[in-house]
Amino acid sequence: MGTRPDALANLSTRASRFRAATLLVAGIIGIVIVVAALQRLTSERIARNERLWLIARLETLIPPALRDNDMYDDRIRARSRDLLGTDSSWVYRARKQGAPAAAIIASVAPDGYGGAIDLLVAVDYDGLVLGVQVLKHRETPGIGDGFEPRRSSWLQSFKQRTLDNPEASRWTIRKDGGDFDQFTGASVTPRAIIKAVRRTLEYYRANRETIFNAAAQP
Amino acid sequence: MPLPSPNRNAATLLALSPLLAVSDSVINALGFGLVALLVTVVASIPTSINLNRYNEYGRIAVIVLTVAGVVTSAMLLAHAWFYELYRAIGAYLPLLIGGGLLLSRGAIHAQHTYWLLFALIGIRSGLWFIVALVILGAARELIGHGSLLIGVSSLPGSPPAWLEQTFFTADFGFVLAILPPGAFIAMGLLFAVRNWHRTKNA
Repeated sequence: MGTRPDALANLSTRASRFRAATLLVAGIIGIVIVVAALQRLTSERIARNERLWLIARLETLIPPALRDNDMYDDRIRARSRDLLGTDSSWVYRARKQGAPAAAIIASVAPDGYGGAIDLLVAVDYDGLVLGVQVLKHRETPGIGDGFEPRRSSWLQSFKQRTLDNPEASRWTIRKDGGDFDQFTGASVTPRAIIKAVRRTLEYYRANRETIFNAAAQP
Repeated sequence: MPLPSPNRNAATLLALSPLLAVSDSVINALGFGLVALLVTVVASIPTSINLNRYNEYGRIAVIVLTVAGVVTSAMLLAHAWFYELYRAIGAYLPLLIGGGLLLSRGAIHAQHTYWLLFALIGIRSGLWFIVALVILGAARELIGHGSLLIGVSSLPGSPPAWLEQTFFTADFGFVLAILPPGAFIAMGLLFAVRNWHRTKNA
């Protein structure tokens, strides 16, 4: 600390430039060490935060009466780019007294207005939709985000639906001749989500036995 | 990180430009502003200690490295210990590095580098930063969403949820206010008010 204006005048000498460069390199190494140490110290707590957040989401999707297992740990990988929108996603299984009760499938709607929309689709054993949640999206605020729970109950309109209710041709927005509302001013976003939910249901129907019989991959 | 020129507050406001994304609601703005204040103060201390060993170019390097290190550390800490806040503003925290560099332009030419002075100026800059961000955030949230303080319960300390007020439904709001062009318009209006105030008192 202190006021040393003549220190600046000395900085043109070769020795002081060398000293400055050395100090800079030492500083870089120091910063890297500090940040790396901090990253090590916090990684466990960060992983725990992410896990707890996801578990809370899973538990709101499936009523407690239907399950008595730990859904987060009882999960398997799902690989189906066509139906789930991504090469690698997870299916979380809910069981009651050992018997399959419901499943939550993480899927992706790749054709949202702002890009991919990450979804969780919960279905009971027979393929009835128990709920849909959006985990991450980049839709236009105020226009494309009409599905958000704080804005409307649009996502609730998926509840109790199946692949046959409504029939396949009515699984789209009203404007296209379907049964689902769209939110004001947006059609790309609801179309993308509806298509993704339907494809997820198709995936579930095609793979139900595999889903519940495969060993957990925590 | 001192700014000896009389345009101190103008430069503070300009440093906001990369950060307009976070000013779309009061809570985002406030949370981000608090982190920015912390970063400013913490970064000013090693900066002041190191500065007089370097010429201008070296100083730029020192400032960038210090701010980058402090912001990265702040991100890790927020991700671990203030998870709700991190979910709201975490994606925008790296922008603080650019903002910090803009704010510390004066430090590059400073002759005196007493650490306490730097820290105090850092606190002052940080507080003005928060004020400007929160004004923007309140205006944009009110006009765009029709609400105020939505999300207040996610701040550390868990303020009660009844502080969240909604004045009209989101459909009625003026959507432009919460989109990026609206952010720049709002900032322009803020500048205009400030300039008007200045010329009035000149």
